[in-house]
Amino acid sequence: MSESRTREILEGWRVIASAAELPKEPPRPRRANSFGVAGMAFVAIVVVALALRNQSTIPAGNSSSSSPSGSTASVAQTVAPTSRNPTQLASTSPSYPPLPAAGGTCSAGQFVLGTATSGPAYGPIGTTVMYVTQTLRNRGASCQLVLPKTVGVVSATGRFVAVDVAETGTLTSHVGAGQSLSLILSARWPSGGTLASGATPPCHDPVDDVNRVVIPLSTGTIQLDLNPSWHEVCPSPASVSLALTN
Amino acid sequence: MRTDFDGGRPSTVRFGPAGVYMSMQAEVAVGEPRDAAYQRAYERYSPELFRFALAWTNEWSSAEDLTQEAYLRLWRNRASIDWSRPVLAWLVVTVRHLANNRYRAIRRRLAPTRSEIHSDEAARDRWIDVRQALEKLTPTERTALILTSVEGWSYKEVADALNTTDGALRAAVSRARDKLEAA
Repeated sequence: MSESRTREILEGWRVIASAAELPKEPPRPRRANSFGVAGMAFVAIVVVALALRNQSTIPAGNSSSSSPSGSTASVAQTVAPTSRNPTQLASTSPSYPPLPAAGGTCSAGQFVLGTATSGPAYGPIGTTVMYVTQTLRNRGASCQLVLPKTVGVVSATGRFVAVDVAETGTLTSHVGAGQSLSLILSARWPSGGTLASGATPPCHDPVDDVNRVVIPLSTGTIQLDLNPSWHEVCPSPASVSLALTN
Repeated sequence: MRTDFDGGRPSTVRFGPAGVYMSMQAEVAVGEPRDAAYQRAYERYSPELFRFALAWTNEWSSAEDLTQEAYLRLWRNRASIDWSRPVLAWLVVTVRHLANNRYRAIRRRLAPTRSEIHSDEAARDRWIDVRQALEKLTPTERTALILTSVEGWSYKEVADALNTTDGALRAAVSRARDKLEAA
């Protein structure tokens, strides 16, 4: 038996697989390079102090903002003292235009931010993809978490833009009391050079240097500061994606 | 297999079939930060791990996601990992478990508009042909055939990675070849 077809298929596989372009850096959480034990302890004290202050001044689901719905209550969080969270809760709660509330029954105030990781992901030639995985712990009653179809992105200049989320299907999750799950955000943008086949077409009116994402839940919002910031977010076609995982 | 001592740090070097170099060198030297070992493990094994994931899933996006998630888990477990053992074996098992628990179905939603393969149109057409042919095989048959015939793994290494026996693996390779020729 000549097995010519088998050889042809395997050779094709070999050529294609060996040409895969991989990110140069592995995924890993961001953390300070030279923090030291004293520095970590200082951060832990500051974070706990902020958390206690925010808990007393910003009740979950309510806000001093005049927004009629989708109120922009920031979520007071405690961060694991042994790791620096690359997506930190904004130390203040600026008022942003209201976003359409997501479905479900989970409110932003019942979640605590845990460890986050960020890194590059694979993308077509000419495209950069960055992702963030943010752990959420439900400190309230069990609820149904539904991802929103619209989020807000904020640029380094303070420009706020509501952008549609790329179609992710119906992503909901029942979150029990005390249960943790992960929220996965990602964004893609052109990385320069000629427009290769399959790469993202140019964006009309992109939002540059996005350093914060505002994610509405059924009540309240989760605001995540991004480090590193996202080079560009496109309102259309949608370039931000969301997903949930346990 | 021979064992060498390089500057006081034990290392084990093994050469597989077709001259494939498979280093079982201890990933972490005494006193070396584990994040440096993690970086090196990525540089050394990520292409190979991706190809394993691609052979197992026969889906480009899934292979990318699984490779990334496996390294994330390696990072999270770096303090408890036994770096004196081959990290690639740990990564391969992790990829297989992740693929089996359908995690990739969730991860794939991250960028649904992403292209299936990052290359030109001719390569994509060829990949479609290859993928369709390999789709007729089970994951075990496909991975067994590719790893032994293309990647140069030994039957024992593949059997260990797939948690099967040498005999069962050889039978899988034979079935895979028959199926591809019959198509």
